Amino acid sequence: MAPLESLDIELSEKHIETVGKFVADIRNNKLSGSEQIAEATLTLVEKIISESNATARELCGVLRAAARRISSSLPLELVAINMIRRVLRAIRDENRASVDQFQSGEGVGESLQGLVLATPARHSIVPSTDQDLREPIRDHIAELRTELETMRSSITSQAREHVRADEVLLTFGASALVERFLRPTQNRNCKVVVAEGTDVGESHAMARRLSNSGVSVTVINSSCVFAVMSRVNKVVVEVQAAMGGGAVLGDAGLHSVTLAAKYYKIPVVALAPLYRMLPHHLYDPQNFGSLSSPLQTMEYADCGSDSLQVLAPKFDFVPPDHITLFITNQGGSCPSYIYRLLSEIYDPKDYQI
Amino acid sequence: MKKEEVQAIFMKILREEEDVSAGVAAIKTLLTVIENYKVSTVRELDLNLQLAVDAMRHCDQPVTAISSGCELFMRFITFAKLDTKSFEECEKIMLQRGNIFLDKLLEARGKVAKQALSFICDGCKILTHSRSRVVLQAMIEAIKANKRFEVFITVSAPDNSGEMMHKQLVAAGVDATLILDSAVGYVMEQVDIVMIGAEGVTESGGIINKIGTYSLGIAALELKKPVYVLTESFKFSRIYPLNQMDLPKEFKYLSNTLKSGKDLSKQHPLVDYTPPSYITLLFTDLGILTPSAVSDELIKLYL
Repeated sequence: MAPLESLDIELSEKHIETVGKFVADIRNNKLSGSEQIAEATLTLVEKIISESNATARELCGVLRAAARRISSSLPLELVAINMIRRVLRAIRDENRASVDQFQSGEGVGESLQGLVLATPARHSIVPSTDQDLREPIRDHIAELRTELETMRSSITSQAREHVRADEVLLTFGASALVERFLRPTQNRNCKVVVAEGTDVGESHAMARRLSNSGVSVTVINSSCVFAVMSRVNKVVVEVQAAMGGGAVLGDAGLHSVTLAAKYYKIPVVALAPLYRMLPHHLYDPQNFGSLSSPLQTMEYADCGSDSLQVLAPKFDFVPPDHITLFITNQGGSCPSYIYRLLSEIYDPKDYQI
Repeated sequence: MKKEEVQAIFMKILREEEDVSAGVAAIKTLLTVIENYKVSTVRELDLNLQLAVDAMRHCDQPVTAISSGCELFMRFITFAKLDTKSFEECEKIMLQRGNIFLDKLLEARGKVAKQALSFICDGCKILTHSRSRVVLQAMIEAIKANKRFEVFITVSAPDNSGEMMHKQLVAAGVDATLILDSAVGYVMEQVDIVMIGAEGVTESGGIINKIGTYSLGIAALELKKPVYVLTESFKFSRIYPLNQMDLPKEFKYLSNTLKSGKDLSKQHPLVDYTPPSYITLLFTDLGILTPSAVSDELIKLYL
């Protein structure tokens, strides 16, 4: 599949300001929660597109430069970059459609079929049209917005199939999505065990809200997960990122929970909205710079001497064989299928921004 | 066109171009056959190609890659026939597409090596088996990118191809240690990743590779080390073995051994089958795939 070459563009002053404001909003917690960040990213992208040249090549170049800027300021913010990748895919698709290189519905990227059907034309780089693609791209962005709005309901509506009556479900840490997922649906009442994550206050608040809505909740410390695991029927967690190959980046501490689940052969269900799909395979601590503030572990005043070091990793890498099922907006998929989802929503050229 | 002529062309390509794998040499031979042996109908061309493939299978070279590469090439040819009117045009188009196909294949190794680069981190120890040109290229790329790593390479009896790989690695500046095939279990606890090539990739997502790979896979799974297979996509083949006995005889033994009529159960097989559950990821020019993605790709092609 011929690629659309994008320019290596430097962002203009105006764009730098826009991106800077976006980054500041995230840093100051004005945008909290991944859904808000995803929506704000789409607004940012719309603004950038309306202020740039209309050719596909330039648009791709500007968006990639913006994404690079965001990821260097906020290395742990994966959602924003994923949303930009989706818009890039929309731009490349529109460009392909308008240049009209294809008759058959061939997918993006390489395939054995592409290899065998190779014609000379496919080797040249797809020219960028000079057409104004902004209108169709705005439509795509509007579609992405709708997808975001319906994301919660499409995931939680699948709860019925996975939560049986009187089951004991374990969850780790606090997550708004998991909370909605576990709320009693019709007649199915389950018992929930909430294992405190790194943010203890949030986990307690979630447990309180769940119990107020009628679910029977037990709160345990995360160190007790192994002891309780044999009594649990399923583990339901929301992940920070679903990676290629079916591996997962979760909150710190998730790996121990899934290890315990694996030992007792308990299925682990990972809720992963599409903006959490990360097209990497490896979790390289250096690349992801994954330490967060040690304040949640230990107060600064309590740190006496120089020889005391406090580490608070943000993410935990969970290998693919610990996860049984991924639940995305589009339904359930097994870990070995994630590569397919990734190839459907992102262009391989954008895997490395 | 005689069998011996095709075999001579094939062996010549293998001799002259050291870097070329048996599969690519086979495809080059087929292209030469189309160019040099003029025929007047498509059916004759087809027959010629079938004869050529058969001749190459009796050359005492590993048949696995030859078989899958040639099948893809034939598939490729059949796609071309339908459009054109005159045979000369058809032949010209086929030659053109053949060369594009070959170019893509030659680029494949570089693509695979580049993908593997990010998985070789500083200070890691890699275990590899026998001689694979793709793994060699990946490691040379890693050296160029100034990564520090150590490689353990098995001797790989009976042809000791691991020794040649060791020589090439040391010449490229890699810190390589030659180990016995039987020392794989001993060394496994020290290594971080296992990186191997493949002679063929089966539809199940498993691989066919030099004998000893299966044992390596079992040891790696037991000690929880990831196994990465570096291979080009033309090695994907439609066979679906369920166990070692299911592998075709032509893959396991050299053609001379098969012809001599000896009792095969007393002969040493050259390759074994490693099931997909022992493989973590496959690095191909189509991208980084999980073993289950292989059948997806094959289905997309053949259906």
